[in-house]
Amino acid sequence: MELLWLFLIFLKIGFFTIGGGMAMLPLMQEELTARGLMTLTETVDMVAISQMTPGPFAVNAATFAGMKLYGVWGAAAATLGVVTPSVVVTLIVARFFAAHYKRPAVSDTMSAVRPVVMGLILAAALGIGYESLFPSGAGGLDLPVLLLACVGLALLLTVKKLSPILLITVCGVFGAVFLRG
Amino acid sequence: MTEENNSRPGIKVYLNIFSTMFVVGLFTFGGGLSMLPQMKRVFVEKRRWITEEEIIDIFAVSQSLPGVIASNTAVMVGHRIAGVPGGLVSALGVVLPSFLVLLPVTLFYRAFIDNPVMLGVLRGIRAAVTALLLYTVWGLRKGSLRGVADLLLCGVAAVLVLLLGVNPVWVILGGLLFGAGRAVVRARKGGAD
Repeated sequence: MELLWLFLIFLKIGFFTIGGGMAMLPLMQEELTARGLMTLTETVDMVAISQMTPGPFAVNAATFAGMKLYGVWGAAAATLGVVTPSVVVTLIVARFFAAHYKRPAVSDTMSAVRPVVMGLILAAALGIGYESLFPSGAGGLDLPVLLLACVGLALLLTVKKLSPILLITVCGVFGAVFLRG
Repeated sequence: MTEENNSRPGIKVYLNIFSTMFVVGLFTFGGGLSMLPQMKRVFVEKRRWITEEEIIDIFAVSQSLPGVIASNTAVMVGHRIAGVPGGLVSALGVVLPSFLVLLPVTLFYRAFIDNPVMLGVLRGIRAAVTALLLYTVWGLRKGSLRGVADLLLCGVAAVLVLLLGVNPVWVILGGLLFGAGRAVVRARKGGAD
């Protein structure tokens, strides 16, 4: 019974937020703390862990909350809940999108959206870049990270078909050895 | 099965979508857009199942829909390649790594928070993600940044999101409205000729 309840809470969180994981956070925190499921400190830990672990933030947070509350089945219920609206809504939209994608009006419209998405990727790059280069605010530049990012970019520009996975792995290992906090 | 595919995709296609999205889920740090480099590499460059333009359009739509952006994107891409089952398999692939990683981590999470080695790993990974995203913009510039108007749109979008903190959804919707308006004007001009 409480599993169904948990599923429904996360279904609501997944359905009523646009803009991804970080946009879900306020609603998620409110639902979990106001119902007395988690303390504020626990939700702070949830955010920290969800950002440190790989994968979508919302799924990480849902799995964390479910696991903490009711174990593996709780994790499954919360994760299923947060993902279900996304899957259902997107499948409907995807069918519609596929049916109309080839129309000239649609492709003409999308040609204006593509530069906007490029802007979003650029913003994401600069946002993550700023966060990692200035971890303690505008004052302190993290020089080793800047050098690592520059080396990474140089490698990507020179080595043909360098795998993103390989680069992330190598930089992660490098960080574990040389960039310890 | 679906209108856009002439023949039913084989089991190998589903397996490839699943394994690719599993790897994407396992190596995504820092928001839905950081899925792009690996997805582009496999689906666009290696398999040639979709074009560069299509994958950008898919990201535009996925960001504007409710719910988890990563699974929205996974469903859109999977559906485009192999219909409804493709979308489901793709979503499962991108979600499963998170789930499997978080189960044990939740039990021992105190050991992870403030762990100097973990923080070092994350510092290294963030440097890589920054480089990858910048490189992706650079690699996509030919197809998606044609002319001054496109550069302007790109710049305005970046400033709105990065400096003014506008939710990307509104920025994309703005782009859609602008594009639709431009399409209407162009169609009228075309009709008048």
